[in-house]
Amino acid sequence: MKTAPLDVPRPDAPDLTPAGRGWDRARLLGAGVLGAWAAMFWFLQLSGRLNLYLSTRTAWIVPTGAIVLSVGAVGATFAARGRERTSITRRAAVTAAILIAPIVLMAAAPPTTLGSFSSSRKEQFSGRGLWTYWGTFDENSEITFFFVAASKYWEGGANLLGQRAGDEASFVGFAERWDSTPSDEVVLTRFVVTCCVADATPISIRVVNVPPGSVKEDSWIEVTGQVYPVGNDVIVVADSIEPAPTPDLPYITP
Amino acid sequence: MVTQRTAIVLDRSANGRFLAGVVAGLAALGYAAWTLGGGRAGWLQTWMVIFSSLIISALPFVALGAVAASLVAVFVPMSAIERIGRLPRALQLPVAAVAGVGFPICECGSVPLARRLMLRGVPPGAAITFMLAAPVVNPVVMASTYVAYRGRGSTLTMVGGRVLLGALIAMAVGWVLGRKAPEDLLRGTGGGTEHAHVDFERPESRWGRFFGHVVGDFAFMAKYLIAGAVVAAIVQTFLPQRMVQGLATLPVIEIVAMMGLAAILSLCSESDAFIAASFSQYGFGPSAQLAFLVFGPMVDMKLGAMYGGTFKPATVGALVATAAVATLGISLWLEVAIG
Repeated sequence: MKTAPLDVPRPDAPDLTPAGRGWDRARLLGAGVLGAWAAMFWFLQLSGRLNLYLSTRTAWIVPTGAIVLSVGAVGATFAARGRERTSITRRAAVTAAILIAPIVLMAAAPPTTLGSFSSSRKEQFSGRGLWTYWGTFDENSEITFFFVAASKYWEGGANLLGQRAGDEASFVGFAERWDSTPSDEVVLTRFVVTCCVADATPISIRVVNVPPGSVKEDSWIEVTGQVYPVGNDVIVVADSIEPAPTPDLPYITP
Repeated sequence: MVTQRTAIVLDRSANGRFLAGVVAGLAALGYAAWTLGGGRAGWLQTWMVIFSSLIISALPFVALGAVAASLVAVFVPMSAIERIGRLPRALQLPVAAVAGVGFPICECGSVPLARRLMLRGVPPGAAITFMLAAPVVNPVVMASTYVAYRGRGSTLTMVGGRVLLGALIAMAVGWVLGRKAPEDLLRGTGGGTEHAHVDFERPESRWGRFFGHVVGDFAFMAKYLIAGAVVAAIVQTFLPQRMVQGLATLPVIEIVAMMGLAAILSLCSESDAFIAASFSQYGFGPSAQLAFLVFGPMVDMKLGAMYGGTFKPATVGALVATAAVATLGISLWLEVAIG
């Protein structure tokens, strides 16, 4: 039995006599890798877990990948038939393991989102490059995380929020505490994702009037209260703070 | 010596014990992810989410790139590309630079192809220009760059700039190296750098060759994507944004840093835009990101090994130096022009 690594061709011509024919195991292994990735992409699509990694704008990449990889896996399986019998080299086995390792990581780890650890290392979302978006806010717009970001980094947004001071609004986000956060406050944060989670930047709002010790860090909560711009900051005076499930779309996209 | 011994060991047939060890390693990885990944360690949770998102967004483009490159390798006759050599001299470099639109091959497939083109009489300048430009100026790469930068206000700058800079720098290198004869540029014919892309001698159907080629290409490129995503996720998990921003505000350093990063990460051109775009939050400007997107597909660690097996050392040195100087020069000019 001859050997053939996953990505290095055998220079010798295959023996295609009936006795020599069988499955090219190296190619089967390659087809298996493509199939494993195809299955992972179908799983991400069907379970909705793709929202943990991509923005709504790039979500179409997942079904595209699932289709291309599925076709590749099926084609490579057929291409492995009726060829010279081969065994798998150690190099091919290690390469396949490296290619499958991310699938194992994603499948084994409990579904999770970015949280306070990541937020503490990132600068706040400034909407640089998204200035045209800010122009869509007016005095009747719903007060959202983006509205809050607009008020922090755009004079027009600050004026608009100033006119709405004291209006009631609801926000869903995860709770975090900064070094400067008093015991009766939490910081409510939501990440903005443009393409994938790697480009996530946080938008944070100070929530005051919080019973000390009532909110656990990194837990998802819904805060309802009055919104006030204070200097270059925005605070919400909480009327109610309720635990909330992780949203289907944990990241927001402009 | 150690590398050679490792290579010999790896090329042995994998017995049942070895395969069981590999499976056990994967199982241990899964167990560690399961026990540590559920928010118990913030850094691990962050790293895993970022790493996974980079892989998920880029891998379909690697698969599409493998399909496109395999179509070219199996179904397009060499004579179609060789026509570049029959064009008037003044047109050869510009046409070679944009030929990647019609022949979308990846960087690791373009090196052996350029060698074969030179051996079959295509002028070296045109062959080298094609080799460097095709992985940048190709529809799959343009699409992935568009997707990665969509909604950031710099989409057209990045897609158009990448194509234009890629073509210009490839022509500059082709012009510098094109004055020499092929035998002065190439190593002996037994280079042995052609991996699974090039298995033309097998007596099997075209579709069989095509799918075999897709598997080989995918495996070859995806492992570099995984390595690049590991590094990029580590940087984004542990380095505070403010610290990297300090580097990103230094005019020349930011470009050199991104070029160096591209060379180290060795990403394939179909997936590198997602990594580059993730650095925009640190304040790296469009010119530094373009330098990353253009220099990486021309000079990186995996290509270094392939260049070393294909070209003479002096040719590799001249290629790397010219590509680096041209990328830096044009990126600096762009920085002055567009910021």
